[in-house]
Amino acid sequence: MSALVTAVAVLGVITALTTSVTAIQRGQTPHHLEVVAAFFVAIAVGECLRVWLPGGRDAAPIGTAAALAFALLPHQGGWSTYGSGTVIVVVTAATLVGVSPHLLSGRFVDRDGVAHRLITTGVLAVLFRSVPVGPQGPLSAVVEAWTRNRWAVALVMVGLVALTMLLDTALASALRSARDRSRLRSVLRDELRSIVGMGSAIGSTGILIALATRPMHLVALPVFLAPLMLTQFAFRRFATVRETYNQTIRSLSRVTELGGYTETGHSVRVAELALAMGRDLGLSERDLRDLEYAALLHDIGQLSLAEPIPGGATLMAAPGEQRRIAGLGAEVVRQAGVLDAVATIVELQTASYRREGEDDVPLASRIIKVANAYDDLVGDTLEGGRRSAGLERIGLGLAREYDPRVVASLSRVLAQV
Amino acid sequence: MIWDDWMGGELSIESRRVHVFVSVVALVAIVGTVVAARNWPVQRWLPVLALSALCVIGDQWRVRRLPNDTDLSFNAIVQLAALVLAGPVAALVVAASPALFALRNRRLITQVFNVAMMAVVTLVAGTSYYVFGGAWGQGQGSSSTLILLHVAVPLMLANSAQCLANAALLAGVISLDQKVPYREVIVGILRSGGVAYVGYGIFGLLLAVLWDGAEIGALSAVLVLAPLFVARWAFAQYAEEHAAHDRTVAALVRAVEAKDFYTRGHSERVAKASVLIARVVGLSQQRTSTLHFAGMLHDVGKLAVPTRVLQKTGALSDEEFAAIARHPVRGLEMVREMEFLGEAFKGILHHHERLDGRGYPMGLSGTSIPEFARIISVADAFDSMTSTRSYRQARDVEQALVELDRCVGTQFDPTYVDALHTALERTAWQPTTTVDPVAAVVEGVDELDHDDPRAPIRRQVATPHRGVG
Repeated sequence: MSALVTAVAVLGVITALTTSVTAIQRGQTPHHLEVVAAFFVAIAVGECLRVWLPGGRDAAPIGTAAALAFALLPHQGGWSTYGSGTVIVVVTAATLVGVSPHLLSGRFVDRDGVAHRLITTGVLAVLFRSVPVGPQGPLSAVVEAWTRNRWAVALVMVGLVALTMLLDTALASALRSARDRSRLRSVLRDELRSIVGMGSAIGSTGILIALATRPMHLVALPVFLAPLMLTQFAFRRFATVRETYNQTIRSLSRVTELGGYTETGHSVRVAELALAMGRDLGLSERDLRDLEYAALLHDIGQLSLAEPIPGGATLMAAPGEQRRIAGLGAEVVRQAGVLDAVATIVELQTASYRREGEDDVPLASRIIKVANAYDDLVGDTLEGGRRSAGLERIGLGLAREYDPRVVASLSRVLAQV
Repeated sequence: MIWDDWMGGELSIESRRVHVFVSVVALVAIVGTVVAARNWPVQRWLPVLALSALCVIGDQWRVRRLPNDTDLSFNAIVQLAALVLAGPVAALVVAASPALFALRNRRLITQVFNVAMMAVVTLVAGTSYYVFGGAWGQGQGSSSTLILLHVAVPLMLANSAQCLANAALLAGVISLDQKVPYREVIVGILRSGGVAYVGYGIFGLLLAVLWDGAEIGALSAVLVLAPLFVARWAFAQYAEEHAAHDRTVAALVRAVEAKDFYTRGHSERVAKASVLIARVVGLSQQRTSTLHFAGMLHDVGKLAVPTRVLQKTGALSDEEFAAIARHPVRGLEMVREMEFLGEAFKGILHHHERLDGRGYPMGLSGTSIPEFARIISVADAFDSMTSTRSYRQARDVEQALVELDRCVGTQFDPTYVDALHTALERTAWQPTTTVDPVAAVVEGVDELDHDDPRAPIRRQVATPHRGVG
């Protein structure tokens, strides 16, 4: 999937490059090179100022907005008469320049993301500047005539940008689902949800720049990109605090280990396994986060025990005791006041599938039950025999203790490793 | 405006100085409004009406209260746009419109102050726009040079003046009401929101320029709103997540403390006392927040100490003491992956060091003990003495301070003991009332809680552990 997207991007750029070169050979150089240069700089700088959005998305909002504006710039008085080929070539070159410091210093850059954004910007440029829609030519020429109804021009741009963003989201989802081995539908839903925020800010900034160049010329570019910089800053802070939150829960989940209540690495292993199963079963990003936190904290109730359970394996404790520990853990988590969903998951992690039924026990609890049982049986081993023995033992409790759908997911997840 | 509402809540009724201050601000607001209305009449009402509606809607949509360093109200932005489109009085009308619709359940004096401050701040913005050569009304969008000289630059300067005026008035009322030095308050306010305030002012420019210059009229407001709402949303998410994080840490610390009945709430109180000290010695906001976490987490390592040893009231054997003395190191191990803690790591590891070098785990002395650790050790001892233990009742604050003074130089850094004195003069300390009465105060026990400075000094039996960094 990733290779395909990169190939399409490279092909598109080569085509654009050829068209541009032919155009230049025919003597059609773009007028007003300073416009091209200004957007080149803006896109390159924007791509360099990358940001991690919540949910682990690598993005360059400023670069993307500048690229959208460059693709949508109206002809107005002939100072942006370049074609879609020029847009693609300039955006690609600027992106590469902007990303190169990151690549050289070895920092992670989402290459697939860069590739699919180039494709969608190219599509936008072609739709606006090259596809003829009437006798006057492409949209970029048609809207020139609407001098009295400038708001209609804005509406056309909004429509085009929305279309571009949808295409981009679809590509991003396909790539992400292939990478994370998660279901396309739930990934698409998550990506659409995330695009509503940052995406609309990027899109409207792009449109605003394109419209504002009419009265303000190139001044519009820095002036209107600056607020987006602050939006980006807000998102970075959001992503940072979320990362911090994750670290805190991860660390504090280990207090039971250091206090001698549970086996080393147990919580983190259960969380990893539970996450893989959650993705396999198509949980949404939000539900996955709750699942992860609940899995990390599933043994926190043991802190209230006077004496640690031998080896910390809750599977060995009596069912009543297990339920009591889960209840105590839920109480601890509920104290936070902000993790009620997580507390419920922790509370119901011991519920047996058959007795409580599917409706009353959240899927996340059923996942944790299986992941916890598997880790208690198998532990930190890669030994094949012990692993299959663990699976087998869980299989014995199928349809009575464990949800068969979740157990099937466990086998699938284990088969992937 | 970011600080348009005074976030401090209610004014204390006793303070006459607050009343005088509010009256002066209100008087300036009234006089200023009359003068402005005479000199700068509003020429076009359409943008004024549209922008007022926007302001009202925006104010209604402000669902959650955000901490004031992250809130972003776009009223200031819309006011700046109104200033460019129709002049200072238009901006004043737009600014006042939400007040008519949103009569919150607040005391009269708070409302008067908020409205008066808003009026003064808007007038400051309008006047400085005029002074710096700004032009308003139709036809400002003919060329980019004109826009830059007569709209953009004056508007940015006006926005900065607006920000300063807002911070100055707000700091005035807060410092009078809460008796905190004015400088401290205004620096805090500007540091927490100044950049965002000036940054988002650009949106005001954008709105005005698009309205007239790009001839798309009221649609410009809609287009401008989108990024604005997203920014607010992101700030709101950040604030929410930040608060959630704090509460989660507190809940988990409480869970760890549950092991020992007598130390419940200890960590939170140590964190609080450390922050009080930090405020007096003037630690930056960032460091103070880190110190708070250090205080919260300084004792998590006690989880690794057997409950039996922690709760023992008699003399400790060498092994038992060694087990207790390991808790800072174990604590550090537990939280090591929480990267944001940074400087807090040293505070956690060294909070039982003594100035004379007879503490643990590393036996550091004097200024080689990290600052955070020196602060926390004072707060730790103070809370230990003012709360109930299994073998004694809580002492009162004066007694505890006397005890701290006695140990200055040997155990505690005088700077922070003095700072605690100062802090407690400003803020009253609530000594803990443990829920259960102490069932049996053990008489004649010579061994004390190890956080208590009166506890005899012990040499660590085990070899010292490696430190951080």
